[in-house]
Amino acid sequence: MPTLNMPDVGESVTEGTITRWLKGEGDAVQLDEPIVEIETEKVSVEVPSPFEGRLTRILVQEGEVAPVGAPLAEFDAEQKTESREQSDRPARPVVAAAAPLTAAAPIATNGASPVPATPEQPHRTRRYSPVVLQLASEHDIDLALVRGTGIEGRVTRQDVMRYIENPVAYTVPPSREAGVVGVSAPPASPPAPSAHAAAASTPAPDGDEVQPLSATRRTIAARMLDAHLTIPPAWMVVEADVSNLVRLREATKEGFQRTEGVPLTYLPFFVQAVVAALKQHPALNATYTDEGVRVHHACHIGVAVAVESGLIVPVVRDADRKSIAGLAHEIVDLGAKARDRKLSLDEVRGATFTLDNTGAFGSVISQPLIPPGQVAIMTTEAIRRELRVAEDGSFAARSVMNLCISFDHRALDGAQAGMFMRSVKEHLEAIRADQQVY
Amino acid sequence: MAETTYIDAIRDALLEEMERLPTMVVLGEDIQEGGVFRVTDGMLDRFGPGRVLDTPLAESSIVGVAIGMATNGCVPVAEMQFADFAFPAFNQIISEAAKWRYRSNNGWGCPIVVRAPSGGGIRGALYHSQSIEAMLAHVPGLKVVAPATPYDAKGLLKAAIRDPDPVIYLEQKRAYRLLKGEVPAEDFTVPIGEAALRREGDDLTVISYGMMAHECLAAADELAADGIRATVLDLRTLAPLDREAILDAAKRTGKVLIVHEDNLTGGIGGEVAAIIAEHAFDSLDAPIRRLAGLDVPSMPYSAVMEAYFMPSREKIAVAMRELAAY
Repeated sequence: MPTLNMPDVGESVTEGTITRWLKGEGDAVQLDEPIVEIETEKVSVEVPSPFEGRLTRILVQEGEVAPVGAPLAEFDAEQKTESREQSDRPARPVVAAAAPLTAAAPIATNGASPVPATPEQPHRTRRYSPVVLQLASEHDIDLALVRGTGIEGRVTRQDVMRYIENPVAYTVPPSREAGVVGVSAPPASPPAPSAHAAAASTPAPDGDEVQPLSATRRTIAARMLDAHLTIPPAWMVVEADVSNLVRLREATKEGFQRTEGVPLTYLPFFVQAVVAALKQHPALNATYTDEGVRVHHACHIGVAVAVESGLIVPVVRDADRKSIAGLAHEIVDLGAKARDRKLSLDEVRGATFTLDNTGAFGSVISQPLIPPGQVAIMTTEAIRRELRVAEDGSFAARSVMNLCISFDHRALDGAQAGMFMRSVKEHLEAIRADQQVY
Repeated sequence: MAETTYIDAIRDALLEEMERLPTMVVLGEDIQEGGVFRVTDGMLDRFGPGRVLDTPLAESSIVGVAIGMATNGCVPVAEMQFADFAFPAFNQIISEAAKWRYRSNNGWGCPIVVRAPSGGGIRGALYHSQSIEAMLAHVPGLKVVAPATPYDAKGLLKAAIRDPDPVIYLEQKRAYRLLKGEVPAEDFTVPIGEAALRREGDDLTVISYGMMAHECLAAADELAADGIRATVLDLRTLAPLDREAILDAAKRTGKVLIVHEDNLTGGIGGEVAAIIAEHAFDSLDAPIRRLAGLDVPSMPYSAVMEAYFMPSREKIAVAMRELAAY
């Protein structure tokens, strides 16, 4: 009996949630007629029917999560259609020898046809070489969990070696692909192709409640553990006097809102100060690899956004070429897209430095984890009114804030980070209360 | 240390051993005049016609005479003008020299060295490009060496001369004036039967020898720029093979490419692959691959066709990338 399987909508997506069945058991379906709505961590798709016939049994209910390739429903189909025939072939192309394994698959957007369902994994993913079997037995590894980078997704000796060293990082595609925290790459896929419930909480015997992990939450968990396990962080705080910035914003925000249609927040100023400091200290705008530190020419600033399901870090590309107004618009725009889950892959990857405005919650000090693929992340803390003593001995109420940085101590030392932070501070303190925003 | 060409390293080894061993003689076609490649240039003046012997154009006789001299206490080093011309001497080499110790119930060795300029890529075509190592490495009782560097050329020739049994010394004729390298002035040998690890990496292993070892190293350099790290093993001695080094290199990565200029079928690569399959099966992560000269009757003369025949850095790099991606 033919089945409709969870489609593969992109290389880094491994599972999806059934949001709505558009057809019920017993319904007749036409070829290419939308049958079910599926939500993944990146996109929502309507899956068209690969058959002409009758839906006989729904295997995965609304609200449940199923891995890519898992059967979702059974059909009484008259005939296999062309698209079904195609789906019997391995979905992944054979990797050309010289091709880097980083290219992301195209992502289906709302309404677009997903890649046909893959009924079976290519045979190579289930055939293992002698050395892989040997290593798996020595280290008691379930090979179904290991991310394969060989031909047709084959698990290679090196994949197993990397998995032994860091199981979390190598059950999922490399975080460098996304370059941001908590987005776009999937969590470890469960080995069994059976659907498992995700929507409902499960009561535990002691009366506690186990809340299942959402796809986003699991991605964040894997990313954060990767960051925590693989990057030796060092940390530092400086205080900046932003009294003039506060006055400037107070004086201009109403006019800005009127003319631009978006609020004037502090964030664009912080981004500009960070970008200016990165230009002076490019070592902070870099990627650490064992072969060498890759210093980026472009300044793509990840701006952390809290959304209902967790944390997403959209990227302001070429932030060094944008005005305060341009940044304000873009940040508002990206934030809205993040909340609506409308961000494209390009809008969440490729950050070279990340900025997190933890001060929005009133935090005065925080210690962020460094996104893999970057060498530092900076937080901007709450602006407070404090008494400060000036050089001449007078004291006054000033608006001050803390700037915190976590940096990868493999790539950078305290001196470099310190000079960068001093530069950010100087740029913020150099703002005059009477200057133009434009 | 002085930079020495491959050919000078061979001549230096001959000169130094002639000085050291009064019983050593060299013999071959036109070698009093220095030979076609000038390896024995100047030796006649230094050691006289009693120790530097010109022979008729009859390789069977050159090796036959050498065997006779060896059984009478001499240490002869016979020169084949080209490896291609060694075939008339095969009967002497295989049926006499190789079996001398066995036949005499370990009573006598046959301490001859047969030098033969081997390999192509010099537009030498049919009669001046052949590789003969696989045919000879097949014969028990023979040792076969194929040095890739000036250092090994000198050290292995000295070791061959000092060996109590017959050694086939396959000079890489393309290397003669192409390769320079550091060679110590003081006396040293390179032990027969020991491979050399030329490069280390965890992604795949390339096993080769002779001139092809250099092509492999160049390909490995190219791949390193893309983050693919290769182990490169230079066999140096083709009989007996350094099994330990082969197995270590294979186990390190589980992915093995064997490269030689000699044609594929029945080549050294098959033997190396069999050793790995028999003794390192559990370490394999990919099918063993071979890249070798084409199974055609001869190296072609046309430069385009010669390049088509020969394994090259580019072809090796492609094969390495495919194996790395497997």
